[in-house]
Amino acid sequence: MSSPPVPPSGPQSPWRLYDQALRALVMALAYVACASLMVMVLVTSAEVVLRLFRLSLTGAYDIVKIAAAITIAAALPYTTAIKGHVAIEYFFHKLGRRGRIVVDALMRLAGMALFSLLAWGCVDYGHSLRTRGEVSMTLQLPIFWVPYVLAVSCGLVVLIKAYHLAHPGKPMIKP
Amino acid sequence: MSPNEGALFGFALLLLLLAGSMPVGYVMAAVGLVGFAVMVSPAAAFSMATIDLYTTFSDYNLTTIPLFVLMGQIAFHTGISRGLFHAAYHWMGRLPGGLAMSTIGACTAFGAICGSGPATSATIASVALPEMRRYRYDMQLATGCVAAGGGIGMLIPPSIVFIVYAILTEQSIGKLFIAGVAPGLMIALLFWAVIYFECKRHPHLGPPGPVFSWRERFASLKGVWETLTLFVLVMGGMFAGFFTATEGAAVGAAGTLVIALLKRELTWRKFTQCLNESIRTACMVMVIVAGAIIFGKFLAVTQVPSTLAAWLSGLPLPGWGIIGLIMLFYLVGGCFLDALALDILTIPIFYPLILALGYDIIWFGVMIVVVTMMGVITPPVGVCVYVVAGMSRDVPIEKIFRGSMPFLGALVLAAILLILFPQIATFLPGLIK
Repeated sequence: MSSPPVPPSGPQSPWRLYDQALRALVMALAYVACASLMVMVLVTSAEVVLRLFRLSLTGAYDIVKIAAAITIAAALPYTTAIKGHVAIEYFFHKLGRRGRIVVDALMRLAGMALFSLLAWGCVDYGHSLRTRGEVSMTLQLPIFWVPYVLAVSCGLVVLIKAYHLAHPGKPMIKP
Repeated sequence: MSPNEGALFGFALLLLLLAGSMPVGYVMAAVGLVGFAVMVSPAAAFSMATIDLYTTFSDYNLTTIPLFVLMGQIAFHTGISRGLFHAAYHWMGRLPGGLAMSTIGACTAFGAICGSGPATSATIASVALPEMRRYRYDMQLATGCVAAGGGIGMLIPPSIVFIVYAILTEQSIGKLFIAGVAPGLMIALLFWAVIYFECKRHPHLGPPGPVFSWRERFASLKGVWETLTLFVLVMGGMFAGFFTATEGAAVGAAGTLVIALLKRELTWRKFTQCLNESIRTACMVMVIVAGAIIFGKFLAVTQVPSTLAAWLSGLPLPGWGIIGLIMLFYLVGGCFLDALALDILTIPIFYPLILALGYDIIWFGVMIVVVTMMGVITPPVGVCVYVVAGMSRDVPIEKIFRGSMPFLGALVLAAILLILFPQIATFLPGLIK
């Protein structure tokens, strides 16, 4: 995994500390996403191998579903930080410099509004799952915390968008 | 607001945000959320968007995407592609344009372990372009064939476009995978024909390479065993009914990992690169899928898909004429929109129409992938061309687009053949239960 860029040494301003903390959080979640992806590979493969011996891995379906949600949710801030989402930039690049700055700012603000709503919605959804005592199908694992992880990721996307707004044209983390 | 006004408002907002370079997945989610809020209620829209986001990310069938992406990434980083190109080169290198034909062969074989067109282009470009440069190939032909050849990776199973199409239309992933095999091989043959006749007419484009002995040719096949083993393991297991698509994807990823370890090609650094790139690609695709599902809910409220289906099926045109119109739409749309995003955005619109016209949904899936292959090499948004341009910085991008044009002609011919003889795509799926 690529490390976040190391800032030059010297007195640490609150903003720099904030940037570093944000990067560290994004990278920590990316590690979680990678680990979850490997869990999906290992659990599913183990289930197939055990089937050869007429054995089964109880709850493999539950674990893979949860790991899949965590993989994508935890990868969301990283993908946003490296500007890894697909966008159509053809028309945008036809604009003048001022036009690009204005449109870019508007699009990021719209993105921030969207992910703020989604973060709030995920907290709300997680809360409703907890209140209803929802559990996974086989292992009966509580699943309310998965939307909470998604909420944290959506919240981080808002902060990353704010970073990109303040530093136009620069990815927060180099892939 | 009436359904028609709502739909117009939604599409206007969609185009505005897409043109403003907002990520495609975000655009679809935002428009779906706002549109649903206007048409139904803000509370219902809010709840729908959140639940759809969560259920998409945790959908068991969609877990095939990160797993197949990981499989392709490990193959990419551990030199499996080199063996494929080496083998193809030993068998075809002596022909006019033989190296370019080997490139197409390697793309086809690599497509058997990688589900993404751009990833196939990037992988094969890294091995094929230096060789073609060494043998003084015309770089317009060289880069064009790598860009177009990458698209074959989308048709030969596993294929991310097929997985997404299967989820959106509730079809069998396995049937779609096997349906892509014959058209994929047909397109590889058409690409070979393009290269052969171009180089026969203009020998300077692709001078023949050295002639290898039969012993050397057979020895080169050693580089194919990993791909063949993985393909037989994953696809064989799926078609024999031994495991599901998700299990096949996981076994494929684990198998590629084991092969890479056995070959001592996988360092810790390469492994983390594979994981990094896999989570990024998977997240990018899944955000688009989630966005499309949210947008699809809004479309359903406006009744656009059924209205459009009724209007198109009422046109005084035969069925193949309407299919031709749809393909034309994809060809033009693919020039401006990312191909996968265009597919995800429009499949829910055209799916009811295809059903109403009585066409085979599996066949239509293959057609969608063929036009997607056109989209990835047509200007201005040809993602495979951009990938190749990034790997051969001395070749102007216009030259790569020009180099892809003969292959675009071959793809149009393939689409026509598939319309005239749908059995090319439907014969193999018909054999499995």
